[in-house]
Amino acid sequence: MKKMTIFIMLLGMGLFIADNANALVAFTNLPIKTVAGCSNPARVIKVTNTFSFCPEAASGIAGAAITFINCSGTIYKSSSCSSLVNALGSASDTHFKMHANGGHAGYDLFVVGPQLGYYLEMDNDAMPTTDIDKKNMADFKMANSKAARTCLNKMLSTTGSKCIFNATGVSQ
Amino acid sequence: MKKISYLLISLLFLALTFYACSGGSKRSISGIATDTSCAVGQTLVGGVCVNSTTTVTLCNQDDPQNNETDTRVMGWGGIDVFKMFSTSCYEDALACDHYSNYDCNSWVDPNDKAPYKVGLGSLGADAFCCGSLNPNCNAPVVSGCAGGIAYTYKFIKCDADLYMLHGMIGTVRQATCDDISQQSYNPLKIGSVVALSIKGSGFFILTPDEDTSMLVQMVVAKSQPAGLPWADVPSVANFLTELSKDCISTLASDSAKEGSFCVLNSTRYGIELDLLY
Repeated sequence: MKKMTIFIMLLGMGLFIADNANALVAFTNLPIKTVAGCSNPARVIKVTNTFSFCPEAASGIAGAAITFINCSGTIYKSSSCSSLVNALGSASDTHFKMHANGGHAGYDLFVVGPQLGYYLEMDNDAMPTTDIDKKNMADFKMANSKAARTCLNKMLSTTGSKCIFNATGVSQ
Repeated sequence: MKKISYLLISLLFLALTFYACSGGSKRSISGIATDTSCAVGQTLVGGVCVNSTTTVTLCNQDDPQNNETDTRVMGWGGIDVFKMFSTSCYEDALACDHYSNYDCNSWVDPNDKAPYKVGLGSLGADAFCCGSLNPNCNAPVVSGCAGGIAYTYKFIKCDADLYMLHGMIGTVRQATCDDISQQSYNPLKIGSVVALSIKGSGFFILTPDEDTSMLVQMVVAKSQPAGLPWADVPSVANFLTELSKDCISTLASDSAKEGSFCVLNSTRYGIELDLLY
């Protein structure tokens, strides 16, 4: 009987953990590399004659929430307009790049301006193993990809607007 | 007495387990609203109601598991871009609704959408000549049937106009506004007056010029990015179609930035999109 109780406890904990592993998407933000430091020059995105960027992270994984805000037409990586730090550039010159495909990989997101750029990765804590978990994870990435696009488009075009990326997803 | 205690503890943990797994412990994604604030067929994500990708009906998909003679079962998706020719060439795309809340029939009578037209004329490019939905409606620009070749369409905003470049991925992918006049990229100036309408697994790009109106059709027989498990085909097809359509729609808007692009890339492993807004 004692063994049965322990078994049920472990089963319950396992189901709880598995269920929540696919309910969360962590956004990890990292500065991007310089064009000169791009490991693969073919990856460099030339936006205009005077603005190119390298879609590669500059350093290792460092999970953290990140907020972009439009303060009077300039985009900052900052939580409010009272603290104007980490300017990416003017809203008209700031872009975001998305990559999407039919599976789990490749839902990375870059928010880049002429002065600064950031890499955000949508990923959850553990690679799912069951078919239903894989499907749920892909669906969740697709949905968050759309939410990110909607939010960033609004943020880039509306002064005072912001996008908050954290472990639970995207919010305005 | 000891056995009864164990039994009660077991029942308690069973109840907690069912509570946790039935959603009782789940957090709201945004904390801003609940699912009940979204319309039917939508899901709340980050405080925004988006169309659900899991409950829609997909058109034009065979069951790849049971049809080994279908060349579309080779584990890749394809992108077809047609110039309008006749309804028979894109009837597959008209067979059913993509999302029920889209205006899917705006293309039917071009007079109702003046100045937009359903174009006439020659057919456009096919990402994989082996992978078209309707072989009679394709004039592939890729000679032979090399399934491993990746073919790319790049829509780019330059000088307030929308352009489409197409060709092999290695060259077209990196093309910029400086390159839109290079004939090796097969440039097509779509112009600045553009409307889009989604239907089935494709969407129409309608312009005042019938030679630049076209249908972009996504075909996902299977989707398996290299080294990863098979993905859900209906969700993937609808997601990629909608994402592509939204990207090109954004490029067509007046506020689109110079150099913004939508790259639609077809490989043997499926469809990939690179989007710069």
